[in-house]
Amino acid sequence: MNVNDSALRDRLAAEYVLGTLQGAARRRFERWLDRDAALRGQVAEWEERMSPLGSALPPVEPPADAWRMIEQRIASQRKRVNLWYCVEFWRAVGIVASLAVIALLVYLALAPRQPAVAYVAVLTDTAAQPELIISASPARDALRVHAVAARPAPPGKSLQLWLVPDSQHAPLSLGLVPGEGSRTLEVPVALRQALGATATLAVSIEPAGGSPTGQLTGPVIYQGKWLKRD
Amino acid sequence: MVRRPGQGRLTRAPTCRRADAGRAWHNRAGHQRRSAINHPTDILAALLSRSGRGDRRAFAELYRRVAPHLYAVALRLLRNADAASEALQDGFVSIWMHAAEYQSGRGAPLTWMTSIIRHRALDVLRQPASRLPSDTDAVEALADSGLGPLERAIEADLSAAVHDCLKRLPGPQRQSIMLAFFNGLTHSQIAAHLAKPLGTVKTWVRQGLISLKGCLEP
Repeated sequence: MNVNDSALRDRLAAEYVLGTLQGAARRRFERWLDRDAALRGQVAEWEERMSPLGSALPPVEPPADAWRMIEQRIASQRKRVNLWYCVEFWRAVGIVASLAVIALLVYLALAPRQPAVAYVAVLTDTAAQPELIISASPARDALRVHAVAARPAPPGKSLQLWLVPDSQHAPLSLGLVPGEGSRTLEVPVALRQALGATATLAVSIEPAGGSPTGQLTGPVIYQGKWLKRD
Repeated sequence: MVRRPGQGRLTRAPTCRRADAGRAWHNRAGHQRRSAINHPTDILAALLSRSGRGDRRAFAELYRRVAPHLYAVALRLLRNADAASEALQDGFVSIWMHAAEYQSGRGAPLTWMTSIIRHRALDVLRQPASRLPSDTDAVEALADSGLGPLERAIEADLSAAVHDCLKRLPGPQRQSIMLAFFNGLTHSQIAAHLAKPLGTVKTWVRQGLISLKGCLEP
């Protein structure tokens, strides 16, 4: 899209809201939305324009178990609240990060029989609690995933690990991770290069067995930077 | 980080105070509920803001008020109770996670929440391996529900300008837009349903949207 073509921008915003923008065009448009506040404004205007149409639908009582499932899910992922501005949060991050580094150094020092670790990530949840420690050898052919706390996936769901190369690219699946204990994941050859860069790792809740589309679909619950250890 | 369920961004510095001291407010909301026929925007905005600060009771109240509207939207698009319930659940988890990002300048809270559910349902509808009706099924499914009841609903409620403007569109443009909006049909599904060339349908949709905008903002 020529990002300066205002008629085109408006048409795409309208078709996005209408639902006729689809496939690759829709995903590309969503990436633009992330970066373009004016475009988000145009989308919001179209949503507002079309909203009375939605109100024409008579309300339907949702199934009784829907709310229970929502409650369960929000209980298992502590809330992402306005943390950026919160002093307590940053204090907690500081303490937790220091402890995590100490724990990691102790762990590495006491585990000399392990293959050399060259990459490591501590994935934290939205309350900055460390949940997963992930490490890889210099060859990046396998990931060792260790769950810090026993926090299994919700019933009927799986936890899936993603490599997020950068904001330009879609997340790539690295496989399913355990909610407790440890597991070793084999890294496909095609992903090893990307794992060497300054990527982010993220874990989302997906349908049992992993995302059916190969794309990230569920909410992201943990994330962390992939760091090279020199 | 990766999902972008809403368009809201933070504008002012919120606090990380958990909102539990909300009893007085709850009473006030309860009082207003009895006197209000619908869901006044400011009550929903207040509930959303409390949810953004982690108040689960406010979130439960928000669900009680808006879930039937949002479920109807998902059900209409997906035509499958399980899939619609799942889209509703995903949508509400997303609303909970992003409630703090909602900003009132970005439109009414119900619109913001509806968009989240709509996009979630559209995502499901567009999944290639979707267990939901295929093109043909979706189009056949239209035969029984059709557009009749909705058009009657629109006839009945002339208060919203968009209904009025929609009625003024040439028939094919109106029908294409309604099939896309209410039934989640793609351009090619609309073309199949109306037995018209794809290019014609794309033009109808585009022109219909332009006319709608013009009509709403003369």
